[in-house]
This record gives sequence, C-alpha cells and structure tokens, in this order.
Amino acid sequence: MVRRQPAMFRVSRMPLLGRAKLRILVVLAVLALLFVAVSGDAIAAPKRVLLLHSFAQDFPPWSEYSKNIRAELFQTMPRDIDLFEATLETARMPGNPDDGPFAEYLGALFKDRPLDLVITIAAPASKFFQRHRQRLFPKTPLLVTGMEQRLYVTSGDANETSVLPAIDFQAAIKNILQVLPTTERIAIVLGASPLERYWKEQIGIAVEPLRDRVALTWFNDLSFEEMLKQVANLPPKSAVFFGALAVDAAGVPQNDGKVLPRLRAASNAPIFSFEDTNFGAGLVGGPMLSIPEISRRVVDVAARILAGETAANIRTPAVGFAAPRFDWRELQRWGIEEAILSPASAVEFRQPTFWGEHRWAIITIASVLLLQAVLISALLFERVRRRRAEAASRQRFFEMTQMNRSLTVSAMSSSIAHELNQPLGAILNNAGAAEVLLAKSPPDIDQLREILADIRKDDARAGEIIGHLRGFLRTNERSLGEVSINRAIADVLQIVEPEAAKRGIAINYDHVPQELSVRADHVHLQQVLLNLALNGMDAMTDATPNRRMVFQASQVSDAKVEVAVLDSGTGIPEHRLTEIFDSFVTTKQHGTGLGLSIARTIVEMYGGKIWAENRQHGGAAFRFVLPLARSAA
Amino acid sequence: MTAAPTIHIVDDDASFRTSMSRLLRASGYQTTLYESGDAFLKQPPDDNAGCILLDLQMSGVQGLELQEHLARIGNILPIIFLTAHGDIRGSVQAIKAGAEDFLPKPVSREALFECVDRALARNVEQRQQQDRLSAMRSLAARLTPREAEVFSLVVRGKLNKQIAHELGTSVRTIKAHRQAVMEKLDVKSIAEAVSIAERLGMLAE
Repeated sequence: MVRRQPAMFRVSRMPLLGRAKLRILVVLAVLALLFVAVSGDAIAAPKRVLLLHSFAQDFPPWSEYSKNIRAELFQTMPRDIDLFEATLETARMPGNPDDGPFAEYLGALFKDRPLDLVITIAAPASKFFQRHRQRLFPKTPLLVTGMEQRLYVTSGDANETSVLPAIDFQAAIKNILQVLPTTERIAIVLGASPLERYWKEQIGIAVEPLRDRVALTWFNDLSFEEMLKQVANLPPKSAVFFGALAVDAAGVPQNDGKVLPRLRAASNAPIFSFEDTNFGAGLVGGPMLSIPEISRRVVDVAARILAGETAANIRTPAVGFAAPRFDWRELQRWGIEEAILSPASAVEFRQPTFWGEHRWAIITIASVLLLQAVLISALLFERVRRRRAEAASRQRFFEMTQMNRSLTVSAMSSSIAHELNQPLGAILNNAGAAEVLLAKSPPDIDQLREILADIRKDDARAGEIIGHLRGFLRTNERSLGEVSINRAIADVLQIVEPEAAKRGIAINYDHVPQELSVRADHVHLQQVLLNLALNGMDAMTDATPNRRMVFQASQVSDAKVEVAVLDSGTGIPEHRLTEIFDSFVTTKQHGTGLGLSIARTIVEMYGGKIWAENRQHGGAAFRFVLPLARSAA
Repeated sequence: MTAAPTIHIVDDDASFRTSMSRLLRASGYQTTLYESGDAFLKQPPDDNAGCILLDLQMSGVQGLELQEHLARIGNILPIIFLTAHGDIRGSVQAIKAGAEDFLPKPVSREALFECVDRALARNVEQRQQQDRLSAMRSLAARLTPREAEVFSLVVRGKLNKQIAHELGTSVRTIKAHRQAVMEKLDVKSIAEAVSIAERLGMLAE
C-alpha cells in the first residue's frame, strides 16, 4: 500500500519551471533513481519522507492536509525530497483489525532505505506509528498532524513532535449566533464513526453555556440521504453546522468531496463549519481552521527536522482558528449584512455587482440612451413643428393660388364683362322686342316663340360663363381626380378667349385625339394653363400685329403628357429662362411676379416639371410634363 | 332721297346681333346685319340713309379700325358704338375719331331708340348738307375755265384791275366774266359767292 511519488508527478508540481527545464529534470530524476538502485547508497541521497495517512488519501478534510503538505514540501525543498505515501486503512474498519502486518510491511520496505521523516495525518496513523516505531523505525523522527490537539497523546520520544489544530467549537457556534442573531436551532452534521461520536460529545460540552440561546439537532444517527431531507425542511431561524461526515449512520462512507455541495443544494438554512476545507463550496464562513496554514507550519517543522534539529525540541503551539473569512455569495443569499461581521473579517468571493463591474459601460450606455432619447424627442418635436409649418405653408400656398386666380380674373374683368354682357344684352333686346311685338295685334306668335327660345339660350350661355368663373374661383377644398387635358385646355380657352379677342390675339388648340388624363385638381391645372396663357399674352403686348397663341398637348412617354403654350411674343432673355419661375420676378409693370411661380409649384406638387424656352422663329414656349393618371396602353 | 333709313348692325355675336335687329325691326326700323367689320367693308351699303351700330370689341377687324377705315372713304353714316362697361380707353379713342354716340351693353330700349333717332336725324341733316354742297358743285361745274379763274380771284377779294392785270386782259373783259359767274352761280352778291367758294373748299388752298 505504499505509493511512491513518481518523478514525473513530482516535477509537475513545480509550476515555476519551464517545459524544457522540466524534460531535463525528468531525465535527471530517472538517472538519479537508477543510480540509487545500483549503488544502494548515495552521497547526495534525497531525504526520504513518508506521509502516512489514516484514511483514504482523498478523504476530506485530511486530503487537504496531504495535498497542502505535499505542495509545500516540494516547493520548499524540491530536490531533496523522496516522498512516499501510505494509507492505514484499518482506521475505517470496524472492530480494530490487526495492523501488525501493515507495520511489518512498512518495516521491510524501508529496512535498507531508512526514512528521514514520517508525517502522520490524523490520530490513527500517529497512534499506529507510535506503537510500532520502537521496533521498526527507532531513529525516524515523527511529525504528527491532522488531528485535533486534544486527541493527541505524546509518546514522550525525543524524535517526536506535532503541529496540531485546536478547534474552538464554542467560538464557531457563537459566530453563527453573531452573524444570524435570530438563530434558534442548529443542526449539527456529524457522521456515525467513533471519532465523530467523540466530537459530538466535545461539541456538546463546548456549546453547553449557550444551551438557553440555541437548540442543537444531531445528525449522527441519520444516513446522508436522511440528513439531506432534514436540512431541506428545517424550521425557520435554523442553521447547519457541518462537523465531519466520514461514515454516516447507514455505514456509507461519505468521502467523495460532494458532501457539502449536496448539503448546500438541499439545505434551506445557512451552513457553517469549523474548518475551511469547504470554504467557497457553500459555507457561510466565520473563524475556521486554515488547513493551508497548518500545512505550512507542518512543512516548516519538517524542514527543520530534515535539517537535523531534534524533533522534540521543536514545539509548536496548537493552531487555532484563523481570522474569520466569509463567502460574500452566501452572505448575500442569507441576507447577512457585512456590518454585522467582526472587523477583522475578510469577505471573499465577492462578486462584483453589475454596477460595480460595468459602471462605465452602464454610464456610457445610459448617457447614449439619454442622448438618443433627447435627440429623438427633439426630432419628434421638430417633426411636429415641421408638419405644422408645412400645413401652414400649404394653407398659405392655397390661399395664394386662390388670390392669384382672383387677380387673374380681375385682370380680365373687362373682357369677362363684355363676354357676359353679350348674352345679357341679347336677352334685354329680345325682351324689348317681345314687348313691342305683344303690343301689336295680332302679335307675331312665331317670332315671339323664337325670341323666347333665344332668351333661354342666352341665359344658359351667361350661366355657363359664370359657372366657369365660379369653378375657377372656388375656395372650398381641393378635389383630386382625373382631369382630361383636352377638357382643361378647352375650359381655359373659354375663360381666356374674350381677353385674347380684346387684345387681338388668335388662340389655337388642336385637340389630341386620344384622351390624356392626369391626376390633379381640375382648378389647379386650369390655373397653370391660365397663368401661362396670360403670361404669353402679356409677352405679346408689344409684338407684331400677327399675335398668335398655340396650345399643344402630346404624350411624351408611356406615363407622361407634355403640354406647351407657345406665343409669338418677344421671347425671354436666355439668362432669365429659369429665373422667371421664381417668386416676385416679373418683367411687367403690374405683375405680381407670382403667376409662373405658382404654376411651377402646382406642376411640381403633382410630380411634374415645368420649363421655358425660346422658339426658333420668335416667341417663347412654356412646357410642362405631368404623369398620366393611367399610362396609355 | 326719301328712302327709309337702314340701321347697320356690326357685331360678331350672332345672338346679340339678331336680338338687336329683332327689337329695331319690331319698332319699325330697317336693319342689315354684319358679323364682322370685314363683312361690312365687303358689302358696304349703297344708301347713305341710316346709321351704324358697331361693337367696339370684336375679333378680326375691330370697331375702331372699321371707324377709321370708313372715315377715310368718306362715310357719312353716323356710328354708334356698343361697348361693355369700363372700356374707357376704347371709348375716348372712338370719340376722338368722331363717333356719334355710345351705348353700353346691355342697353335699355328707350336709350337705344333715342340714340338711334338722334343719329338718324343727324344723318338726315348731313345728307341735306351734302345735297346742298353737290348742288353748288354742279353750279360751279358750269363755269368755263376762264370764269373759274376769275371766280377764284374774286372770292379772294381781288379788284377787277388786279385780276385783269394778273390774267393779262382788260378790266372790261373781267367785268363780263364776273357777270357770267354771278349768273351761273345764281348769286346776287359777292358775299354769297364767297360763301359758296368756302363750302367748296376753294379758300383752303
């Protein structure tokens, strides 16, 4: 049952050395071993140290001792140590089985290679060694550790010393009461082995003074599964004190290192302990034995012994609880304020809060979000304002177009009056004639009938003129619809013809054979045409006697219609061809400068384009394109 | 000379033209209708009795142009313009060119008749004046060239001696010519002769 640490294993515990160096060391170590085997004696023989375990090597908490001692040893004296480990399994067997043969075996094993030091971990190993040392290892120093100081009985041998922990159960329990002052009940987790029953007694004695403050529940007689059920259903104001659990009441060894995590997972109450093996795995914390600390002291003493000091001369006082340590996560879980902890306490496993860890990120993101929100609000506000402004501007525009129409009509008022006076005059004449005829006898009925028919006709004609004007001047809401280009031009001609006649201008329009329609307000289209017509007529004021204005319409592509108003006027100076569409640009003395600007705005409003050009043989051409309502097939 | 006067209506609006004619005819006038100034010029009336009702605003040959044209060819038919309200510029121009009268459209029956009658009366007057003038012209046409020369010098106030000197003949001969002129023109005094000469436009030269 002796295991020798293979060289590889040894060197892998030297984290400071590089890979290449490691390889060399491995080779050296193998050579050294071979050398030892051949010669039987060596000048620089390494110190042989036996680590004697009481229980299985991986058995917590002693596994923590061996682990730490091993690590410390190799770190302190890397080359000088030839470490052997053996495990005294008899301690776990019921009924004190004979350990004689194991002792003989060890004696035989190290007969020719005397051990320089034996370190026993836990009471059974030290007792075993004390019993057999006189016979088998009379000169080998013994360093006892891994047991509570009150379990140790010194043999009085000069080659024996100890580094032992001292457990203050009362302090441990008081810690629970300090941290959780309302605690009324503490469940003590302990196994069923004789040693653990001993500890039950010891804890009982230690806690005796606190009996009136807290009740204890003992788990010694429970299987681990039963314990788990118990801790899951503890009454409020309970706590769990994890003592030791080597073997439960069902005789099942609980040595796989999963005991505390399982307890922790099941428990509805916080878990405390007296040593830090499981610190970080679910213990709340408090003053505890620090096994790394004890191990360090063990190795210190071991080094001194190996250096030649007499073991008995090295006296190490029992190692008590280290300064209190707490697991921050458990504190959080059980709602324990850090303020309640004693000032010397260290809080570990502190998990940075989200705020603490990402403070700047949070601030940055929040700022960005805030900025964005402000920006979005500003933009929304701006949008509302823009919408309002747009609505207002649209309103103004429609008012202006309305005004433009009124002005247009008023500019033509004398022509319109004349136009209207024709039928009115005719009606009056006819009525007069009728009166005269009626006064005669017999009255000429046929002629009277004719007269009445003519009156009706002239009245209709006057009504039509007024209707046109009213349609053109109407102020009510726009009505979007399909407008026939032919009809719009015909309507405009009707309005504008008297004026043209008055000015001696001949107006011409050839109807396009196909029906071209655009989507617009009829009045708006009329207004564009009328403005262009008036503009053209004004341009012809000083022109040759042969004054002609021509309207043209044609489909320019599948989806567009082009309308042109051609005049025989003076034309437009080249540099003003685009400028004339700007507002308040006028060449006329009495113009508002809005006619063409309004025409452009209307055309663009319906997705079209307007431009002016000079004709080859004099005069100007104003053209605009508009999308067809339905693209002609 | 005593033919019934005709009212010539020139208006491009058929409806108005017809109604106007209807009213005037019903009230006993004679009318002829023209749809434009051109049409009027193409077929001018062969009788001087009557008046013209002319629309101021027409396409093609306009009212004012027609007025101008008629004045050039010695028309004596009075022109009454028909005009819409407010056409001041056109009206002023027409008056300057000798328009007889103005009528707004629409016009009341009474105003129309009054205006037409006045125009016709003036037409009669003008025609009588014209008749007198042509009578004088026919009298003057009877003078021999020599008598005409003497007549033109007499009405300019020249003495017989001066005339004889100017024409290179004797005062006696001039006296005889002078007598013949007075007889042929059927005048008894020099003042009458001067009046005829003035009407015939001889003094303007």
